[in-house]
Amino acid sequence: MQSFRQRSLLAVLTMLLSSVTVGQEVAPSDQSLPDIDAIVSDTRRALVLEVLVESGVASLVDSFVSMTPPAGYRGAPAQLRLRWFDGADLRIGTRNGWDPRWQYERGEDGERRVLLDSAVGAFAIPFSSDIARVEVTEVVSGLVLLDVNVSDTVLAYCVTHPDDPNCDGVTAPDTDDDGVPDTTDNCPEDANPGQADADNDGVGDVCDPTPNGEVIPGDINGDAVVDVGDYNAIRASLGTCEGDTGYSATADFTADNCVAYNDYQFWYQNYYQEEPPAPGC
Amino acid sequence: MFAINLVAGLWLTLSASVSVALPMLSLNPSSATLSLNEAFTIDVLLSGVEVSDPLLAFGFDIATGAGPVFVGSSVAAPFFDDSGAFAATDVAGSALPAVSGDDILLATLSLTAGSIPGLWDITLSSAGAEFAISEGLFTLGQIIPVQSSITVEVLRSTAVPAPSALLLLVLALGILLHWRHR
Repeated sequence: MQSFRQRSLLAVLTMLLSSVTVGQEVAPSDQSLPDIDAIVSDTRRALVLEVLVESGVASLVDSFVSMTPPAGYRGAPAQLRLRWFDGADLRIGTRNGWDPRWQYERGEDGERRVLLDSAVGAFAIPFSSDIARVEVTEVVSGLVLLDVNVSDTVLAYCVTHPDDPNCDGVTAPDTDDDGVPDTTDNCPEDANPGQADADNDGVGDVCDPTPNGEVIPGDINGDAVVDVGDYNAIRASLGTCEGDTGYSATADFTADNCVAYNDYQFWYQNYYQEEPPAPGC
Repeated sequence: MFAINLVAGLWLTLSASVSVALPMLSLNPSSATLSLNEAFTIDVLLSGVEVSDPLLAFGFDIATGAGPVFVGSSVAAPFFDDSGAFAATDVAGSALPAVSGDDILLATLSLTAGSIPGLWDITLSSAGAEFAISEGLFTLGQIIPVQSSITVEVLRSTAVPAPSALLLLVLALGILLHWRHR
């Protein structure tokens, strides 16, 4: 049976030894590494919405899918409420959140809460490929601050992560049914499984008016059509000469180093051949 | 033979005049008789623009002499105002699609009569280095010079000026002094 003095001494010695152990360097082989397999196998994802909150209104800054599962919110009272819905507008879930405008400010007299005019907050909700819409409301007033469609974000993630089990059953739209999703198809409305693009301009040969890179007279902006976009390009350069800001050599049809109405007249003759005006215009 | 040649020559002249019919520019002032410094406007109208040779753009300078003063302009729809793009051109506008027809309002000019009475010519022209660049009437196949003018009359003010307050005061004081002396 140890006396009280002996037990006290033992306790002090144990504390001293443990503090020494903490201060020592630990060999790399002894470090407890995170369980990578556990992280990889954790298929929970978060749909993150970065939201700019201002007085009475909010706007979406960005939305993306994060590999980190969303942490649960257990604080009270809630200031904002997030609700998310599927494509049929049925509610999938609800989560409370803080208004990001409330922030802590540390001063000489300690820490205090301040309300900023506006602030960006990140809200994370459990990812599901069914999510189509997210709504952010003020809890007290019930005012809807943000109502945003996130279908594109969800689809973009699932298209680029086809192996993610969260995306089972999600297929990318393929309008022309040629096996290449619209998002990467160089002719989304014309079937071209081979994606041939002879002039490498990003537009597939089957839907490219200039498959071999021909130059269309009057096509100033290079979109393969002579239209109002080219007229606007000329107007943006009117009155400029070589060396001036805004001068466009492609709009200078008369090659007199200035863009003026004589160039517009030349351009219009090309435009007229494609789209002659209706009588009476 | 001479008669036939004369008829043929007349026919050629007539047919030539039909084929080169040019659009007609007209100026329509809000008032041709003005008082000193009176503000007025002039509508610039164009007629005879064929569907086969529609108007794409126009540009001109304005000369008013030493009398009226050109203040500014408003290019009429469907033309877009390009006046700011051309430093050496007073009024310029372009349209897409091009425009044809009669009584096409190109622009409304704003002027003041100025402080010098008399008859004054207000002239629109494209007779300068900018012709065929930013000035003239640009149709599908032609560039037509602009040359048109009107005369406005600025009248001398005929109103009788009212006596000034000071004169009235002196007169009243004089009457008062005269009455007290009596």
